[in-house]
Amino acid sequence: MTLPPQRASQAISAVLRWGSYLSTAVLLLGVVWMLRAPDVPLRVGPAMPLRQLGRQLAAGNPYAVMQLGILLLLLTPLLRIVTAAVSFGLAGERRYALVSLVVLSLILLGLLGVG
Amino acid sequence: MPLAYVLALVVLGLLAGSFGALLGLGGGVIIVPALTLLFDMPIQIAVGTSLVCVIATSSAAAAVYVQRQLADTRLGVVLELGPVLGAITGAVAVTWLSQVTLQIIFAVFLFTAALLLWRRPTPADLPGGAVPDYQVRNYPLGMGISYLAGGVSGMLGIGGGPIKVPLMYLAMGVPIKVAAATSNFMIGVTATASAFLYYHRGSVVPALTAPVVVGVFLGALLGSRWLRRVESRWVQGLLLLLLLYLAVQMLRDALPLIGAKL
Repeated sequence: MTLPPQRASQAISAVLRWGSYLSTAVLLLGVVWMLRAPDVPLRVGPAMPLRQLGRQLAAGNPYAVMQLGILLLLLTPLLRIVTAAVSFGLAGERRYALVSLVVLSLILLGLLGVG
Repeated sequence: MPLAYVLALVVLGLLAGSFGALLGLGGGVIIVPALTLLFDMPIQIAVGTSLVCVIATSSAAAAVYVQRQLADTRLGVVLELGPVLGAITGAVAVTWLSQVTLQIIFAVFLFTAALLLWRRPTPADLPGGAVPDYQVRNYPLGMGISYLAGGVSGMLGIGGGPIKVPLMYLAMGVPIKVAAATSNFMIGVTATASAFLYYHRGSVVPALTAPVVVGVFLGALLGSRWLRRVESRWVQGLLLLLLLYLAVQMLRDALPLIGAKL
Protein backbone atom coordinates (compact mmCIF):
# COMPACT_ATOMS: atom_id res chain seq x y z
CA MET A 1 0.00 0.00 0.00
CA THR A 2 1.44 3.42 -0.90
CA LEU A 3 0.27 6.88 0.05
CA PRO A 4 0.26 9.78 -2.41
CA PRO A 5 2.00 12.95 -1.05
CA GLN A 6 -1.28 14.88 -1.15
CA ARG A 7 -2.99 12.38 1.15
CA ALA A 8 -0.05 12.53 3.57
CA SER A 9 -0.25 16.35 3.67
CA GLN A 10 -4.00 16.19 4.28
CA ALA A 11 -3.55 13.74 7.16
CA ILE A 12 -0.80 15.82 8.84
CA SER A 13 -2.77 19.02 8.30
CA ALA A 14 -5.94 17.47 9.79
CA VAL A 15 -4.08 16.34 12.93
CA LEU A 16 -2.64 19.83 13.45
CA ARG A 17 -5.90 21.65 12.71
CA TRP A 18 -8.20 19.45 14.78
CA GLY A 19 -5.67 19.11 17.59
CA SER A 20 -5.26 22.86 18.00
CA TYR A 21 -8.96 23.71 17.55
CA LEU A 22 -10.21 20.94 19.83
CA SER A 23 -7.76 21.70 22.63
CA THR A 24 -8.47 25.45 22.45
CA ALA A 25 -12.22 24.70 22.60
CA VAL A 26 -11.67 22.55 25.71
CA LEU A 27 -9.53 25.33 27.25
CA LEU A 28 -12.25 27.91 26.51
CA LEU A 29 -14.85 25.62 28.09
CA GLY A 30 -12.66 25.31 31.19
CA VAL A 31 -12.15 29.09 31.47
CA VAL A 32 -15.87 29.87 31.11
CA TRP A 33 -16.71 27.07 33.56
CA MET A 34 -14.18 28.42 36.08
CA LEU A 35 -15.75 31.88 35.89
CA ARG A 36 -19.28 30.52 36.26
CA ALA A 37 -18.48 28.23 39.19
CA PRO A 38 -17.27 30.50 42.02
CA ASP A 39 -18.05 27.79 44.57
CA VAL A 40 -15.26 25.56 43.19
CA PRO A 41 -12.16 26.16 45.37
CA LEU A 42 -9.57 28.39 43.65
CA ARG A 43 -6.67 26.35 42.36
CA VAL A 44 -3.79 28.42 41.05
CA GLY A 45 -1.07 25.84 41.16
CA PRO A 46 0.66 23.14 39.16
CA ALA A 47 -1.32 20.57 37.18
CA MET A 48 -2.91 17.78 39.23
CA PRO A 49 -1.50 14.21 39.00
CA LEU A 50 -2.84 12.30 36.00
CA ARG A 51 -4.45 9.60 38.17
CA GLN A 52 -6.69 12.30 39.71
CA LEU A 53 -7.59 13.91 36.41
CA GLY A 54 -10.30 11.42 35.34
CA ARG A 55 -12.06 11.61 38.70
CA GLN A 56 -11.90 15.42 38.77
CA LEU A 57 -13.23 15.60 35.20
CA ALA A 58 -16.14 13.36 36.15
CA ALA A 59 -16.78 15.64 39.16
CA GLY A 60 -17.00 18.65 36.82
CA ASN A 61 -13.87 20.44 38.10
CA PRO A 62 -13.11 23.32 35.67
CA TYR A 63 -9.38 23.18 36.54
CA ALA A 64 -9.32 19.56 35.37
CA VAL A 65 -11.03 20.61 32.11
CA MET A 66 -8.32 23.25 31.51
CA GLN A 67 -5.62 20.70 32.28
CA LEU A 68 -7.18 18.29 29.78
CA GLY A 69 -7.07 21.07 27.14
CA ILE A 70 -3.37 21.67 27.82
CA LEU A 71 -2.59 17.95 27.61
CA LEU A 72 -4.48 17.65 24.30
CA LEU A 73 -2.46 20.58 22.97
CA LEU A 74 0.86 19.06 24.12
CA LEU A 75 -0.06 15.76 22.49
CA THR A 76 -0.98 17.36 19.13
CA PRO A 77 2.63 17.76 17.84
CA LEU A 78 3.43 14.22 19.03
CA LEU A 79 0.48 12.87 17.06
CA ARG A 80 1.72 14.93 14.10
CA ILE A 81 5.12 13.18 14.34
CA VAL A 82 3.42 9.76 14.41
CA THR A 83 1.22 10.69 11.42
CA ALA A 84 4.28 11.92 9.48
CA ALA A 85 6.20 8.73 10.34
CA VAL A 86 3.31 6.52 9.16
CA SER A 87 2.86 8.63 5.99
CA PHE A 88 6.55 8.41 5.13
CA GLY A 89 6.52 4.68 5.88
CA LEU A 90 3.53 4.07 3.60
CA ALA A 91 5.15 6.17 0.86
CA GLY A 92 8.23 3.91 1.03
CA GLU A 93 10.42 6.70 2.45
CA ARG A 94 11.74 4.67 5.35
CA ARG A 95 14.62 7.05 6.11
CA TYR A 96 12.25 9.93 6.91
CA ALA A 97 9.92 7.61 8.84
CA LEU A 98 12.88 6.53 10.95
CA VAL A 99 14.03 10.12 11.61
CA SER A 100 10.47 11.01 12.72
CA LEU A 101 10.50 8.14 15.19
CA VAL A 102 13.94 9.21 16.47
CA VAL A 103 12.53 12.72 17.13
CA LEU A 104 9.56 11.20 18.99
CA SER A 105 11.88 8.97 21.06
CA LEU A 106 14.06 11.99 21.97
CA ILE A 107 11.05 13.86 23.34
CA LEU A 108 9.85 10.84 25.34
CA LEU A 109 13.37 10.07 26.60
CA GLY A 110 13.80 13.72 27.64
CA LEU A 111 10.62 13.46 29.69
CA LEU A 112 11.55 10.09 31.23
CA GLY A 113 15.15 11.18 31.87
CA VAL A 114 14.09 14.26 33.78
CA GLY A 115 10.96 12.75 35.29
CA MET B 1 -10.42 33.57 40.10
CA PRO B 2 -11.46 37.24 39.69
CA LEU B 3 -13.13 37.93 36.36
CA ALA B 4 -10.99 41.03 35.68
CA TYR B 5 -7.76 39.05 36.13
CA VAL B 6 -8.89 36.29 33.76
CA LEU B 7 -10.05 38.85 31.18
CA ALA B 8 -6.71 40.67 31.42
CA LEU B 9 -4.94 37.38 30.62
CA VAL B 10 -7.25 36.80 27.63
CA VAL B 11 -6.61 40.36 26.36
CA LEU B 12 -2.85 39.89 26.69
CA GLY B 13 -3.19 36.71 24.64
CA LEU B 14 -5.32 38.50 22.03
CA LEU B 15 -2.70 41.24 21.61
CA ALA B 16 0.23 38.83 21.47
CA GLY B 17 -1.59 36.49 19.06
CA SER B 18 -2.69 39.19 16.62
CA PHE B 19 0.71 40.93 16.63
CA GLY B 20 2.35 37.55 16.19
CA ALA B 21 0.21 36.60 13.18
CA LEU B 22 0.76 40.00 11.52
CA LEU B 23 4.52 39.77 11.91
CA GLY B 24 5.09 36.01 11.66
CA LEU B 25 6.06 35.66 15.33
CA GLY B 26 4.71 33.21 17.89
CA GLY B 27 3.92 35.90 20.45
CA GLY B 28 6.31 34.58 23.12
CA VAL B 29 8.41 37.75 22.95
CA ILE B 30 5.40 39.65 24.30
CA ILE B 31 3.83 37.02 26.56
CA VAL B 32 6.87 36.19 28.71
CA PRO B 33 7.86 39.77 29.66
CA ALA B 34 4.21 40.85 30.04
CA LEU B 35 3.40 37.98 32.42
CA THR B 36 6.59 38.64 34.39
CA LEU B 37 6.25 42.42 34.60
CA LEU B 38 2.50 43.06 34.60
CA PHE B 39 1.20 39.90 36.25
CA ASP B 40 4.19 39.41 38.56
CA MET B 41 4.62 35.76 37.62
CA PRO B 42 7.91 33.87 38.13
CA ILE B 43 9.67 33.78 34.76
CA GLN B 44 9.61 29.96 34.60
CA ILE B 45 5.79 29.96 34.79
CA ALA B 46 5.68 32.72 32.16
CA VAL B 47 7.95 30.61 29.92
CA GLY B 48 5.82 27.47 30.48
CA THR B 49 2.67 29.41 29.57
CA SER B 50 4.29 30.90 26.49
CA LEU B 51 5.45 27.49 25.22
CA VAL B 52 1.88 26.16 25.35
CA CYS B 53 0.71 29.25 23.41
CA VAL B 54 3.45 28.70 20.81
CA ILE B 55 2.20 25.12 20.26
CA ALA B 56 -1.37 26.36 19.71
CA THR B 57 -0.54 29.08 17.17
CA SER B 58 2.15 27.20 15.28
CA SER B 59 -0.01 24.06 14.97
CA ALA B 60 -2.95 26.02 13.53
CA ALA B 61 -0.68 27.93 11.12
CA ALA B 62 1.27 24.81 10.10
CA ALA B 63 -2.02 23.01 9.30
CA VAL B 64 -2.65 25.58 6.55
CA TYR B 65 0.93 25.55 5.26
CA VAL B 66 1.06 21.74 5.11
CA GLN B 67 -2.29 21.51 3.32
CA ARG B 68 -1.08 24.00 0.69
CA GLN B 69 2.11 21.89 0.44
CA LEU B 70 4.23 24.96 1.21
CA ALA B 71 6.01 23.37 4.17
CA ASP B 72 8.91 21.08 3.19
CA THR B 73 7.99 18.19 5.50
CA ARG B 74 11.11 16.16 4.63
CA LEU B 75 13.40 19.07 5.51
CA GLY B 76 11.29 19.81 8.61
CA VAL B 77 11.45 16.25 9.92
CA VAL B 78 15.25 16.03 9.50
CA LEU B 79 16.00 19.52 10.80
CA GLU B 80 13.70 18.93 13.80
CA LEU B 81 16.38 16.76 15.41
CA GLY B 82 18.50 19.83 16.20
CA PRO B 83 15.90 22.05 17.89
CA VAL B 84 14.31 19.15 19.80
CA LEU B 85 17.67 18.28 21.37
CA GLY B 86 18.29 21.99 21.94
CA ALA B 87 14.86 22.51 23.53
CA ILE B 88 15.42 19.66 25.99
CA THR B 89 18.88 21.07 26.82
CA GLY B 90 17.44 24.57 27.28
CA ALA B 91 14.55 23.38 29.47
CA VAL B 92 16.98 21.47 31.71
CA ALA B 93 19.64 24.22 31.78
CA VAL B 94 17.06 26.79 32.82
CA THR B 95 16.72 25.13 36.24
CA TRP B 96 20.35 26.03 37.00
CA LEU B 97 19.75 29.75 36.42
CA SER B 98 18.27 32.27 38.86
CA GLN B 99 15.20 34.38 38.09
CA VAL B 100 17.43 37.48 37.76
CA THR B 101 19.86 35.82 35.33
CA LEU B 102 16.95 34.63 33.21
CA GLN B 103 15.42 38.10 33.15
CA ILE B 104 18.73 39.59 31.98
CA ILE B 105 19.12 36.91 29.27
CA PHE B 106 15.55 37.64 28.17
CA ALA B 107 16.20 41.39 28.05
CA VAL B 108 19.28 40.82 25.85
CA PHE B 109 17.18 38.55 23.64
CA LEU B 110 14.48 41.25 23.35
CA PHE B 111 17.08 43.82 22.20
CA THR B 112 18.35 41.32 19.60
CA ALA B 113 14.80 40.48 18.48
CA ALA B 114 14.07 44.21 18.05
CA LEU B 115 17.17 44.56 15.85
CA LEU B 116 16.25 41.48 13.78
CA LEU B 117 12.67 42.70 13.45
CA TRP B 118 13.85 45.93 11.90
CA ARG B 119 15.36 44.10 8.94
CA ARG B 120 13.19 41.05 8.51
CA PRO B 121 10.29 40.59 6.07
CA THR B 122 6.77 40.18 7.50
CA PRO B 123 4.26 37.59 6.20
CA ALA B 124 2.65 40.33 4.06
CA ASP B 125 6.02 40.89 2.31
CA LEU B 126 6.43 37.27 1.24
CA PRO B 127 6.45 36.91 -2.53
CA GLY B 128 3.30 35.54 -4.19
CA GLY B 129 3.17 33.02 -7.03
CA ALA B 130 4.79 29.63 -7.44
CA VAL B 131 7.73 28.51 -5.32
CA PRO B 132 10.96 28.18 -7.37
CA ASP B 133 12.84 24.85 -7.49
CA TYR B 134 15.54 24.53 -4.86
CA GLN B 135 18.12 22.15 -3.49
CA VAL B 136 18.63 22.12 0.29
CA ARG B 137 22.31 22.50 1.26
CA ASN B 138 24.39 22.92 4.44
CA TYR B 139 22.50 20.40 6.58
CA PRO B 140 25.23 20.24 9.30
CA LEU B 141 25.25 24.04 9.70
CA GLY B 142 21.44 24.07 9.73
CA MET B 143 21.35 21.36 12.38
CA GLY B 144 23.91 23.18 14.55
CA ILE B 145 22.19 26.56 14.47
CA SER B 146 18.72 25.08 14.89
CA TYR B 147 20.05 23.23 17.98
CA LEU B 148 20.90 26.66 19.41
CA ALA B 149 17.50 28.01 18.33
CA GLY B 150 15.87 25.09 20.19
CA GLY B 151 17.98 25.89 23.26
CA VAL B 152 16.79 29.51 23.24
CA SER B 153 13.21 28.30 22.76
CA GLY B 154 13.37 25.89 25.70
CA MET B 155 14.97 28.49 27.94
CA LEU B 156 12.94 31.58 27.03
CA GLY B 157 9.61 30.19 25.79
CA ILE B 158 9.76 31.54 22.26
CA GLY B 159 9.21 29.64 19.02
CA GLY B 160 12.55 30.45 17.43
CA GLY B 161 11.15 31.36 13.99
CA PRO B 162 13.26 34.55 13.73
CA ILE B 163 16.36 32.32 13.88
CA LYS B 164 15.18 29.36 11.78
CA VAL B 165 13.65 31.30 8.87
CA PRO B 166 16.79 33.36 7.98
CA LEU B 167 18.91 30.23 8.55
CA MET B 168 16.96 28.18 5.99
CA TYR B 169 16.65 31.10 3.57
CA LEU B 170 20.19 32.48 3.70
CA ALA B 171 22.34 29.46 4.54
CA MET B 172 20.40 26.43 3.27
CA GLY B 173 19.04 27.69 -0.06
CA VAL B 174 15.34 27.35 0.86
CA PRO B 175 12.92 29.92 -0.69
CA ILE B 176 11.65 32.36 1.95
CA LYS B 177 8.01 31.23 1.69
CA VAL B 178 8.95 27.57 2.19
CA ALA B 179 11.34 28.54 5.00
CA ALA B 180 8.54 30.41 6.87
CA ALA B 181 6.11 27.49 6.38
CA THR B 182 8.66 24.81 7.37
CA SER B 183 9.70 26.80 10.45
CA ASN B 184 6.07 26.80 11.62
CA PHE B 185 5.85 23.06 10.92
CA MET B 186 8.83 22.47 13.23
CA ILE B 187 8.07 24.97 16.01
CA GLY B 188 5.19 23.00 17.57
CA VAL B 189 7.38 19.94 18.02
CA THR B 190 10.28 21.99 19.43
CA ALA B 191 7.98 23.75 21.90
CA THR B 192 6.38 20.44 22.96
CA ALA B 193 9.79 18.92 23.73
CA SER B 194 10.43 21.60 26.38
CA ALA B 195 6.78 22.25 27.37
CA PHE B 196 6.45 18.67 28.66
CA LEU B 197 9.40 19.29 30.98
CA TYR B 198 7.90 22.57 32.24
CA TYR B 199 4.56 20.80 32.74
CA HIS B 200 6.25 17.96 34.59
CA ARG B 201 7.98 20.27 37.07
CA GLY B 202 4.84 22.30 37.76
CA SER B 203 5.65 25.40 35.70
CA VAL B 204 2.45 25.11 33.64
CA VAL B 205 -0.42 26.41 35.79
CA PRO B 206 -3.69 25.49 34.01
CA ALA B 207 -5.74 28.36 35.54
CA LEU B 208 -3.22 30.93 34.24
CA THR B 209 -2.19 29.24 31.00
CA ALA B 210 -5.71 28.47 29.69
CA PRO B 211 -6.97 32.11 29.40
CA VAL B 212 -3.74 33.22 27.67
CA VAL B 213 -3.85 30.34 25.16
CA VAL B 214 -7.50 31.05 24.32
CA GLY B 215 -6.62 34.74 23.74
CA VAL B 216 -3.54 33.96 21.65
CA PHE B 217 -5.43 31.49 19.48
CA LEU B 218 -8.29 33.91 18.78
CA GLY B 219 -5.80 36.77 18.29
CA ALA B 220 -3.84 34.73 15.74
CA LEU B 221 -7.06 33.97 13.81
CA LEU B 222 -7.94 37.68 13.75
CA GLY B 223 -4.36 38.73 12.91
CA SER B 224 -4.18 36.42 9.90
CA ARG B 225 -7.47 37.93 8.61
CA TRP B 226 -6.10 41.46 8.94
CA LEU B 227 -2.85 40.52 7.20
CA ARG B 228 -3.76 42.03 3.85
CA ARG B 229 -5.53 45.09 5.27
CA VAL B 230 -3.05 46.43 7.81
CA GLU B 231 0.12 48.31 6.84
CA SER B 232 2.68 45.85 8.23
CA ARG B 233 5.48 48.43 8.53
CA TRP B 234 3.44 50.34 11.12
CA VAL B 235 2.80 47.18 13.12
CA GLN B 236 6.49 46.32 12.84
CA GLY B 237 7.47 49.80 14.14
CA LEU B 238 4.99 49.54 17.00
CA LEU B 239 6.24 46.10 18.04
CA LEU B 240 9.84 47.32 17.81
CA LEU B 241 9.07 50.08 20.33
CA LEU B 242 7.18 47.62 22.54
CA LEU B 243 10.10 45.15 22.53
CA LEU B 244 12.59 47.89 23.44
CA TYR B 245 10.29 49.08 26.24
CA LEU B 246 9.86 45.52 27.58
CA ALA B 247 13.63 44.93 27.40
CA VAL B 248 14.35 48.08 29.43
CA GLN B 249 11.63 47.17 31.95
CA MET B 250 12.99 43.62 32.32
CA LEU B 251 16.44 45.06 33.07
CA ARG B 252 15.02 47.67 35.47
CA ASP B 253 13.13 44.91 37.25
CA ALA B 254 16.22 42.67 37.49
CA LEU B 255 18.97 45.17 38.32
CA PRO B 256 17.84 46.16 41.84
CA LEU B 257 17.73 42.45 42.69
CA ILE B 258 21.37 42.12 41.62
CA GLY B 259 22.20 45.13 43.82
CA ALA B 260 20.41 43.49 46.72
CA LYS B 261 22.44 40.32 46.22
CA LEU B 262 25.75 42.20 46.12
